[in-house]
Amino acid sequence: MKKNITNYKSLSLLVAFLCMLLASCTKEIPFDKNKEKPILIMNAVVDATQTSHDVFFALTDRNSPISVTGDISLTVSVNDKEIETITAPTEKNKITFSCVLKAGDKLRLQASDRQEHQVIAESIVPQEPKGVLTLRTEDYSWESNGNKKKGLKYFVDLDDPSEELTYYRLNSEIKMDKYLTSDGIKDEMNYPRWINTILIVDDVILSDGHPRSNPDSEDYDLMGTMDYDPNLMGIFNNKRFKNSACTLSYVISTDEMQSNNYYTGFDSAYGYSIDYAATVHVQRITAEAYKYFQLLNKLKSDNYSEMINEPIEVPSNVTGGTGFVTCINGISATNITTKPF
Amino acid sequence: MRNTTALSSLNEKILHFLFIGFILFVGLGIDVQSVQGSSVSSLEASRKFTVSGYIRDMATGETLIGATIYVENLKVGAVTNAYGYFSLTLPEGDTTLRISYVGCMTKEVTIQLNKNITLSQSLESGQELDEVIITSTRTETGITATQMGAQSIPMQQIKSTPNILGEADVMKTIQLVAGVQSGSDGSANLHVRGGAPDQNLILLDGTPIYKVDHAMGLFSIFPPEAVKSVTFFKSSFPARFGGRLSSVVDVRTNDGNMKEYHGLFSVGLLSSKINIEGPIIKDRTSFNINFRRTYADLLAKPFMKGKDTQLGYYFYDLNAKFNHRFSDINRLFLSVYHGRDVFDSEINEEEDEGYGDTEKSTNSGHMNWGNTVVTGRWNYLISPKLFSNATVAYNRYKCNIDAYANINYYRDGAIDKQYVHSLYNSGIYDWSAKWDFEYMPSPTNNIKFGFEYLYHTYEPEVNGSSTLFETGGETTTTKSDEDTDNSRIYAHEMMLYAEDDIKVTDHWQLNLGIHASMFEVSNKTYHSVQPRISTRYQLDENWVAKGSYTIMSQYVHLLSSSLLAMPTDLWAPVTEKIKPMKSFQYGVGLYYTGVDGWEFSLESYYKTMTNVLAYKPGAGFLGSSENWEDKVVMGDGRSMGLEVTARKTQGSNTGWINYTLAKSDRRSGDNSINNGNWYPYRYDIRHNFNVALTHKFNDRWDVGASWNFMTGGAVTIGVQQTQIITPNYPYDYYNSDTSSTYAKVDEWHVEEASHINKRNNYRIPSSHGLNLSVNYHKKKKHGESVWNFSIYNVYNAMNPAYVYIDESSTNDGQMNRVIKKTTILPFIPSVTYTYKF
Repeated sequence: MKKNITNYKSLSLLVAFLCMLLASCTKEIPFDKNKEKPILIMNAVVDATQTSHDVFFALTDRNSPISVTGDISLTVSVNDKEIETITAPTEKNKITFSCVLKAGDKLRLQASDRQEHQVIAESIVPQEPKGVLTLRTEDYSWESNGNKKKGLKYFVDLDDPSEELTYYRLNSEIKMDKYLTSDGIKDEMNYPRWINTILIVDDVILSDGHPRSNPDSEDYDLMGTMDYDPNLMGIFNNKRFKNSACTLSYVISTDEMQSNNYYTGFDSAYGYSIDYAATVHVQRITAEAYKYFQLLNKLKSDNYSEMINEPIEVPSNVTGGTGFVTCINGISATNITTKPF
Repeated sequence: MRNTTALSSLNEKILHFLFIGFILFVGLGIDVQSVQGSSVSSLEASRKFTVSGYIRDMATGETLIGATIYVENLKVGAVTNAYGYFSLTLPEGDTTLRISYVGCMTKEVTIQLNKNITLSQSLESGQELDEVIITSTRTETGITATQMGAQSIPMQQIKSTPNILGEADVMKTIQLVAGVQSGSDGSANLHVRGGAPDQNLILLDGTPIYKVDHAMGLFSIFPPEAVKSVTFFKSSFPARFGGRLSSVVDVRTNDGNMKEYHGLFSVGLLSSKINIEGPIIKDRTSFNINFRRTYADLLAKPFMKGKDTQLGYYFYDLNAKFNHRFSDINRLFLSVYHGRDVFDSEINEEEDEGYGDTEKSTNSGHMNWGNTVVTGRWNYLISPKLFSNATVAYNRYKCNIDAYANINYYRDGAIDKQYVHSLYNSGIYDWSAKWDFEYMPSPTNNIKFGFEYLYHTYEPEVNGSSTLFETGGETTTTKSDEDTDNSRIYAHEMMLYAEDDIKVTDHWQLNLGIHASMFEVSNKTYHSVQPRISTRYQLDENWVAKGSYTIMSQYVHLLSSSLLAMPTDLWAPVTEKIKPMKSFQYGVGLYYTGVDGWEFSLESYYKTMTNVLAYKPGAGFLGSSENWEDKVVMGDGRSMGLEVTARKTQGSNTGWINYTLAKSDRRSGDNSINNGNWYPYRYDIRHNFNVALTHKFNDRWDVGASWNFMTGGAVTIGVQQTQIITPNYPYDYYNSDTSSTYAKVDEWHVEEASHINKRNNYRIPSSHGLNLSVNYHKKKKHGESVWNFSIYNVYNAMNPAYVYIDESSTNDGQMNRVIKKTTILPFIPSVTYTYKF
């Protein structure tokens, strides 16, 4: 890692040195008011396994998106049939609607504000994965800078054979509960301790062909950037397992979870154990959403800088404004593992 | 979608055939009556003999490229080729040849032609840029040429055109030609008719050069003192050229004085140069050596003494050429170019980490990059009508970066040491062999044919590193050196070509050519057959019309960080996935020579390109070639334009004024960019206006001026802010509803992001600038001294080199975003002293 930073410094210094020699100077260009009229933003990810759904609204602006003034009117239609129209103030820039959706339904959201901004977006609810989803785990350890680290490796067996190119999103959450091993009484928690940082290591599907040997191994190039974007959104497709089942895997660092939650060595001395209650969601997403999440992977990656990378145009499927509306549909599986400190 | 593409392809093919048909048959139809009784027919009647030879400069013995040999009564002529050779087959009898060349006194020679004659002549230098009547089908540039969009750039114009820090520059002068843009302010890049900088075939004595700039694009590698001629083609490319889509820059270096020793040395603010030439064996063997080095590193050194940061940058060029004339039949050339950019840095830092702990580090780096080109050529006259040139060349571009970090951690009285060394190499190596032939059977036919083979070795990127840790007396060493051989890519490229420049009638000329190429890389072979057709029709004494149709193919791509010409920019060959680029260019032009000493032209073009690469959203190429195919998307490009030029070619005032109206855009092959819709090319410059002038007051004083105005290109920036929807994962997220630090992952929220509705959505402001230079010449006892005073950007126009969004917080914590432009080349005066001896 150090080597890459050092090389990067050399190149940066070269640029800086030449600019210095040529006495560069910077000046502000006035914004063109005619080209920056605000437009309405509408965003929603509608999970067909839920009945309550949030739609987020705002207006684009030069400095930061601004709240919509006054009420917003949202009309929800399913399969071209109007379900409900909600007119509400947008204090939290959010309107919640209730609706039961099933695979193949066409959801249409139409919204307008008092300034006569009007936006429309449509999305089809994908099929949910057809087969069975199971979640297994085993102990996992690795070396990092001479230190041994502990973790859990989870295996997700997904049986969703499909001839067509199918897109998915995987997310996992792990809830920790601490209790005395001797009496089995769970520690009182002020708030739930959810951990959702999963490490994609040697899984070819989830890493899109970039498996790593070790959760801490970083394949950096000359400029100190990784050769690929980490799959922060957990998206994948069935290119590598068309018409068959597959097993996905990921790792969590139990050391990191414990230290992040202020569990100390004293807990071990008193004979505490921890329940790791892991839930995995595998959702089918649309091709449009896959592209959207791919670009979010880039946008949120440490690799990305607007100065040196080609800027990202985040896709919009909202007509009349901007934003992204999509439906997802998934299944879940749970695994609870108890580990002593 | 597929049907639409197929239909569009069919339409394109129909358009191609219609256009070729127009060029061939309309021209024939117009002139079919004028063939009878023409002087061309009369040439066929009697016995014919060939007069051939070399035209040289009387003072230096240098062969003259583009000298005209004209026979007034027959109204036929020839032009010397790139080696100063001509051949003219004429009817038997007494013939007067008028031999002329720009800057030389015109000479008339009468010969009795009753057998084949070898006639090598020397021309005396003239005081003025006298009128030269170029009336021959043989020339490839200018109004009299069959080709259009081809221009010989006078060396006097290059030397007189003012530039940054007084550095006269070949590429910067070409940027003032209609249809050419620099891209960003100060850059030596060429964007020709909507093409990218990697689409220019830049030849140094016939060998393609990969890196043609120094100082990240500010200066080109061609010092004018080493250059003999520059020819620029932007359409109707002669069939011998291939491998790039948009232009050809053919640079020929000085052969060296065959008569006497001469030289010059020059001292400027940026660099010093020395040029020495002379005979090794008089009239047989000569040499020319030119060396240039900058000294920014030496000037900056005193100011950095004792500072924690030490930086140094310089570049140098060495051009050397040797030639030996065995006879007028055999001649051998050896030319060498070697140029490097070198940058050194050292940064010493000390950081107090608290509790008495300290970290002391020294980061140092050494970067060097540049070309080495060795070219050997053999001219052999097979017969007076058949000239041949065989070339063998080695060409290397290499970039090396070595970086060192030496870190000492002082903790609790102990020292932990870390030493890191990393290296980066990339390069491209070519071996090439070619044989060109020129057959001149009659004044109405000039046939060129030949072949070329290139063996490419691409070394896209080799990284290596070693690390040493020393803690508590224990040492750990890690080393990772990648195998250089495994990262190399080998490719074979072959080309065959033939072309015939035909004077069909007194009024009508036709140039028909074909270029066939093959490229083999990683067991994948690509072929391409590229027709080249140009026609010229003399409407009357002053008016000329031309048309052309050209197909070009390109097998290499430059992976670059688009803004600056970085040393880490990489040339990568086509692959199984990335197909060769292809361009189809149509052009028509109208030319007028009715005003004494002036030439006027109006040219228009329409160019389509296929398999043009564009970077996918978010892609970055700074130093990384791995999986580059996944970072780009192939697509189409199109550009169209209208170019108006007025050139003054005679007298004490020379130069040109031109205006270009152009449009260039791109479309990705899939929906990854702008949903597959057309979007403006980054260097889509709508209006471009150039003036390049020189004026000679007398033998002592001359001035040069250039003025340029161009509208801004297009860049992608988020002028406004929007919201994007994203899962809470994986960032720590404070959920105010549950007061939890970590939220469940199946919750969604919105975040702020730049609102970019399409690629290249923002037009950067227009640029303009005036540059001036004044030369004062003074004769000395043993030579001549020249003082050059020049000012770059006279009225200090704040032209944008690039624009960006600057974000800052106001006192009340609000975000404040503004668009800023950075100007890197303000008002820059300079002075240069040159002594010629």
